Amino acid sequence: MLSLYISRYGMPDTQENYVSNPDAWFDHQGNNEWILGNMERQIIQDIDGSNVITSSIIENPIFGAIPPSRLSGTVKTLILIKNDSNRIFDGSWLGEDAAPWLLRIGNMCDRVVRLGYLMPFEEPFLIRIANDGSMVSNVREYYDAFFSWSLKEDGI
Amino acid sequence: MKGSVNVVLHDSKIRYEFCIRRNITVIRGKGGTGKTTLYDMVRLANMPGSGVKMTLSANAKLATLAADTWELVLAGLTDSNYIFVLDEFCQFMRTQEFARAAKLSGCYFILITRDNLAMLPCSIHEMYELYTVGRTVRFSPLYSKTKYGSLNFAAAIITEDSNSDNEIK
Repeated sequence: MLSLYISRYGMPDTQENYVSNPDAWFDHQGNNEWILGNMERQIIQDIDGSNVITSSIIENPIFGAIPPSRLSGTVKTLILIKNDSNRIFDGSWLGEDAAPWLLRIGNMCDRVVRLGYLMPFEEPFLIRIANDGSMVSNVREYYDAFFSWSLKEDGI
Repeated sequence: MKGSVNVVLHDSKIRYEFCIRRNITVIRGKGGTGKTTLYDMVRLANMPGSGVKMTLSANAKLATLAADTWELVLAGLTDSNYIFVLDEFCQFMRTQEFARAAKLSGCYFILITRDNLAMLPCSIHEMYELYTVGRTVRFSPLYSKTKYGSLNFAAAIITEDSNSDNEIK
């Protein structure tokens, strides 16, 4: 199941497994073999419009052959979330077009993602709010949870 | 800095054309649209021999701010004709310290982020996403008049006066 930790400012300092820069983390700690997976190939095609040729070569319509390090931050973050269950990644690196993919990954496995903006999830969904463990299953409940926790963070 | 600045930034593969009108411009939107490439190209355009070329109207300069040097750069700045680009990894942009330094600098800032920036007064008219036609990338307003229609589900809308400003002590 997908769990969202709603926070405008990141995660608490005590959260040692939080990765605030998944773009750089993918480059330095990621595994290039991950991009060969079926879902990963689909994500790369859908978000970046690029085709995976080998684990180290991707064909981009504008730049030609590029290495995995030049994938978009959205793609890198999705691939990390899917493949690395030990960490919490910063979901604000994910564009709005990542929302369906994030839900699909959440349907496959348990993942916690920090989110600082209102990502547009489309129903049906079941998302756990990691701040308090509550569940949201429609857009209204999700909006209420997002704004409620955002305001609490500012002491409102 | 005052007024608008037209920017053209290009190499042999891609070209950015946009206009910056206010002190804070926010870029967000879908993945894979070229936000980080914009940051990288601005950084490279300031390195002689990089092959990235940039043209700006007026007397403006376009540069990047980095996480490890932004305080030194802004504190030592004597020229307010800079437009600074900050990418998503520049988490300092969420801080009150940055908001204060940005305001004091008098410079313009292009912030690439999807997070809500409570510390900074951003006009919704200066929030953009990138769109590409051929090999040219331009800014497209995130909140066009037609998109306001999507707010009709709201029970209440909070607005502010157009002359209001941030009150950073």
